[in-house]
Amino acid sequence: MKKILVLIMVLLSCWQLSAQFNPGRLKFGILGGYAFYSQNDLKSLNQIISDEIPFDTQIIDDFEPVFYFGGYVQYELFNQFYLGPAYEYHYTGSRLGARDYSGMFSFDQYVRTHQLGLKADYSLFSMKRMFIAAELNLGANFTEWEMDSNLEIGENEEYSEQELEQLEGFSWYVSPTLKLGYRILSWVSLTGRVGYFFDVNQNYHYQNNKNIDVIKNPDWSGLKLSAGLEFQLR
Amino acid sequence: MNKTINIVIVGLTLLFTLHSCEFSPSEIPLTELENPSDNVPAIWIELTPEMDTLRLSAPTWISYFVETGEYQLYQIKVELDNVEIEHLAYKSSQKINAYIPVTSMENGLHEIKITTFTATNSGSIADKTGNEIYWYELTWPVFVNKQAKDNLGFSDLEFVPEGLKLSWPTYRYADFDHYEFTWHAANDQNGKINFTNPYQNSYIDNTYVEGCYVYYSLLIHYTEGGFASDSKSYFEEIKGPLVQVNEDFSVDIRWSHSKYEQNVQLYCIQTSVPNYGRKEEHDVTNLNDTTIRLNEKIGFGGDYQVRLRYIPKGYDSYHSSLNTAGGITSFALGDPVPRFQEAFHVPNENSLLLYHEGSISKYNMLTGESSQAISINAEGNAYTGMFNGSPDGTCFGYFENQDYVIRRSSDLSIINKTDIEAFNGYNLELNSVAVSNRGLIATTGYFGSFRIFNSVTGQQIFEQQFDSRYYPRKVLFSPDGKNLAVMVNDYSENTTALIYYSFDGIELTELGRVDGVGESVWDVLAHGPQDKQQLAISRWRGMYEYNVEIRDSRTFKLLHSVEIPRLFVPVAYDFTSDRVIARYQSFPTKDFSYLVDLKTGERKKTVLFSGREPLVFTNGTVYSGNGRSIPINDFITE
Repeated sequence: MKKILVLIMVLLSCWQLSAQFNPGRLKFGILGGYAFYSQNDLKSLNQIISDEIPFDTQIIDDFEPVFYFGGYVQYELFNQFYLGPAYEYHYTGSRLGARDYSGMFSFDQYVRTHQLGLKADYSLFSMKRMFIAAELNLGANFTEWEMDSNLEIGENEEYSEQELEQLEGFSWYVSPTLKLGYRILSWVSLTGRVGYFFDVNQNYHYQNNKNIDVIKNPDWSGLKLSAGLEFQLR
Repeated sequence: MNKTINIVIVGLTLLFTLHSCEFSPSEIPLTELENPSDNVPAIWIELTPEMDTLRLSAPTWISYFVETGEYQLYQIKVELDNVEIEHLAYKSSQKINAYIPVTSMENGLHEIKITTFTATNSGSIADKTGNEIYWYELTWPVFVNKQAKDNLGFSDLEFVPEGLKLSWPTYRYADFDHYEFTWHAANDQNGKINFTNPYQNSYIDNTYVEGCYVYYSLLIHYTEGGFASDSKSYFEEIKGPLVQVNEDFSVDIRWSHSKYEQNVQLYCIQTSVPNYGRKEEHDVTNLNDTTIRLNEKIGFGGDYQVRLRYIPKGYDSYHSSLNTAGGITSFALGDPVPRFQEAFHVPNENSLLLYHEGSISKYNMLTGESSQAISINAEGNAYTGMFNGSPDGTCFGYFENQDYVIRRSSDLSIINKTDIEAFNGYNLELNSVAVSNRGLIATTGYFGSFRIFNSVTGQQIFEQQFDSRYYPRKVLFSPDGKNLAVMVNDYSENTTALIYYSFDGIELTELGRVDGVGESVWDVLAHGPQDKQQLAISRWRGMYEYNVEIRDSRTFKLLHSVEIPRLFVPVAYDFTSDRVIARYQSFPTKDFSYLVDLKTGERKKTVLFSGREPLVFTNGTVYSGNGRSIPINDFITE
């Protein structure tokens, strides 16, 4: 709750600054890249499932790095210091399964999150068209998590069993990033980023029953690599 | 430059679209496995009760155990008439018990189906999840008969060459546990055997011997507790041995072999004899011998019995204590005559008037014919006897309905009935009663009274109360009816005295008395017939020492006195031949009696008089209450 109050106070500060708004200081960007998610809990959940079911299974997908994308808008509050809202969409998943002449079993996990926060950008170095900046993203993850298990026996699915569990949750994140930019034109730059994403204070529950304690949670922490375009209205 | 920017934008848009914002899982690779074999592996089952057809008479539990080896057992399903029995009792993962509710089932045929589901061990997903199975179906016919327990028991008992065979219906139902067959023989040869085979429905007793009482019991035990039972007792009478009495009074016994001689240890011959006879017992171990001559000769005056026992092998107790059936032959010495409990002589008709078990009849001694009997309800006691004859035998009397009834001996018609006040309530309080030829009745009472009544009117015509010195016992009229003999206990002399009176119809006059009269009051005195006018008195001289005095019954004058050999007791007088029979009445007994001439005192040995049957001795013939008679002259031994 305290964190939300802090975020509101920052937004109010921005609002006060808007009284001196100069469109030439506004920039926005889009980006996309790969993130290496930790998801240790969900991986261990796969292992538990694998151990519990009576036949041999294999992990076919295991939360491999998946493309993500996002966008942001920033305003130069001070000299070379930009601040503004940012959005990123991340998803990943896993599959545990087995298939033979008698049927098929799969246990799939789908996780996706909408990250909403503030992105601060401070230019560290600039030479001709090249520039380097340090970024710090702060915000919240709004995550959806589905576990879909499916058992099909027989060529014509004489027996089948499916179970879908849907959860959702909320967590905070902080992501320090180093940005490298190349100014293609005076108003557009090509950017590349490397950063690390810290996912903290996860709180998840079943969509239809919040009373069940969830002890294993999605964890979006990990390295992120991205590229993007940044536009400046000058 | 703008062109470059457009290209970059289009490229990024394309990239976003391609990834469509959702994780898409990869295909699952196929694992190659062999399909399960069509050759279904064997399993081992155990079904109880072990019956091809489950026969039920009551609710029961069935048990099913299965061993599937390396193939995992998934499920056991039990159906009764195609309806699954839901509540199975699992004793283990491999063993179930199922309850069969017979009470709610109809009699007749039903079916239980037991299905066993196992893994195929193919390793496939379906196998591991129990969706790929081998199943084994067992159908079990069920026969229900709820009346099966009714009337369980022995069905037959028959002789077979091996012995005595007992049979019973088989109880071939699921709750059968075992038959418990027991036998208890009177010879203490008991045993018990359990049959766990329900088809074992017979038992052959190969130890049985005729005569033995044996008790067989059958218990049919049920597995759930409880039992049905039945019993059967059996005995087969031993055929009575043949008895032959020889002229020298020796006795030969002959008997038959046992049908079960292989079970016989020996033959036991045992006699039972009347008083003063001598018993004997013979064990015949040579089973080829079936005859024996008794050591003792037969006597007269009582019934003899010979008893044959087949002593079973293994019996080692007293032979006489072995309770057996049959094998008894009764015999007695003499010619058959009617049995009697009391009798007296009717000289005019050459007959005997007999009383036997409530009937009175006459027996003609010359023709051997018996008259039509009449039934009476005589009342008497141990002292008075049941009826009394007059001295000449023309009439007799007895109590009936507390009246004294007098009948004619000739046609047994009633002369009169009179109440002589002999009863106190229902108790006859008399020691003796006598009836005369001429219509008098004399009684002696419990309390010392001596009374004489007119039998026609019932009027008491005389009464005398003896003082405390005397206690009147027996009274007897003389043949002419004018005199009476009264035997009294004389407490002052501590002896028994006979007081002889004349009676003139009003008063008594003592004609004389003798002391020391008899030891047994009932054998003391006897009056002779009318023409003899004699009175015989057994006079006691000392322990088993008697004289017999013959006196004139009119004057009490002593006519003769003969000495009876010591330890012999006079028991029967024949006034027609003036002889008395003297019986040896001590122990050890002797095998003869004496016939003593009352005039000369001559003694002759005669056949042993045994037993205590009443005797009548007249015209040289002795009649015994056991229904025999002998002409005594034919039985004089020396």
